[in-house]
Amino acid sequence: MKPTVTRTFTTTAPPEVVFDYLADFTNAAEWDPGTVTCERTHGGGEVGTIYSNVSSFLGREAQITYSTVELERPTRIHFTGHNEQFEGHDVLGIRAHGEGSEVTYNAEFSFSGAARLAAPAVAAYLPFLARKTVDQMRGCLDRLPGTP
Amino acid sequence: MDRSLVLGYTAIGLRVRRTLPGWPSDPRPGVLVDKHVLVTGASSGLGIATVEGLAALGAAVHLVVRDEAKGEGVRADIARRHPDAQLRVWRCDVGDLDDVRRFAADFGTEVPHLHAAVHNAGVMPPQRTESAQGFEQSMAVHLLGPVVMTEALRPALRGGRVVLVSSGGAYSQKLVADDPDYRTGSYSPSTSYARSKRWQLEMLPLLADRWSLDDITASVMHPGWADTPGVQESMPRFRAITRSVLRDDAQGADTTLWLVGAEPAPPTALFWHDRRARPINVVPRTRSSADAVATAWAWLRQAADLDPSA
Repeated sequence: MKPTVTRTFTTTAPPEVVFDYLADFTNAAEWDPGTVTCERTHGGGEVGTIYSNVSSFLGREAQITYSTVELERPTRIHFTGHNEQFEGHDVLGIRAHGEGSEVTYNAEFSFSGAARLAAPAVAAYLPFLARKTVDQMRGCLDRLPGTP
Repeated sequence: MDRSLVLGYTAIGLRVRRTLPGWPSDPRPGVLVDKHVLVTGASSGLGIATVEGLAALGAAVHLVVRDEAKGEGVRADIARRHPDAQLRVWRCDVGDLDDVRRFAADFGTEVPHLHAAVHNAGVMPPQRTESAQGFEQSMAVHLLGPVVMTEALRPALRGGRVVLVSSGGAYSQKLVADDPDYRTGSYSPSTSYARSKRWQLEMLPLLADRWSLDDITASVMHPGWADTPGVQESMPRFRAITRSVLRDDAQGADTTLWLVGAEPAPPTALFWHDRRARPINVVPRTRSSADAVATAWAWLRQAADLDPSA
């Protein structure tokens, strides 16, 4: 079972501004309600860059290593995250929409070991989490410099 | 109705839906006057009906065909019924990417503003066939040719629309991202066809994002089950059983004409059938993972040469 969630929303920020902000995963500390801290540990933001992310999820904190696997300015960003029990994908599709952008956020989770038991709980919690994430992400994007 | 396939995709489905509230209005008469529209696979089946419908809305229609003599016959035939129509025949083999690039360069020079490109050309090779560039033929004709042609025509298409004609058969297959050329497993014409149509659905959002930068919308549509030459040749048994309820070509082309002519442009990146956006999966087993989509996209970017500078 791979819990997955996809949400599409619009922002007043143009695609390049959205891309540059979201492609730097350290900004997850701002836009992702689950992220407590996020630091770059290897690379300069390009494909192959590694981030150390501490996320809190359903009341527990976990360290997750994220890598940038796809970057296509300004339309596509793909991070994978993993630790011993978790593997996840965060994929962002960005398209021009009037003066701003339409952003599609797709998150996919899979669990191994004992954490597999959490999958149904995660699947149930995802719609709520997705709304929180998307609201917060949109708020961050709408306030970026370069946004009308 | 769609879940029952037979009701939704046949002529019955369209006839019923047209009478239901919420049916989107027809394109305004003359809406395409002074606009240029390109249709591939224009010399048979849905292609002919699409050309004729576009011409009736006032468009200058470019018939892109493999067989120029056949295309000329179709053009002359439509011209008899629509004496004022502007129709022009172009030769291009959509499955041969070199020929697509040659055609697009010529076309872009002569037609600087293109309102819409309708990628309608379709094949169902009885045996596994490779294109001039060594790709599996249905992938070359249904996905690579349309993508390469659209990329090459992006300057002309600015502010315009792209429509890919797909098939409900896509619902039966999942994305096989690691074998786009059908090199493993025994080849089946209908599976190969449906796989390439699945690729269209999965790549649509990524292509739509890319083309949005030129203010181009991208749609994939499913015509329903129409009595086309493709069906007649490749699926004779299916046709024998369903013939009485199969759609005629004009019914099959209805949603394409609506996508090209509706004002304002329908939203981008959606899969349409009978003028309504549809899900791209009807059963969970065809759902793609993020990994599979990334693998597929990387292949498409390379195969269609989407990053020539990289």
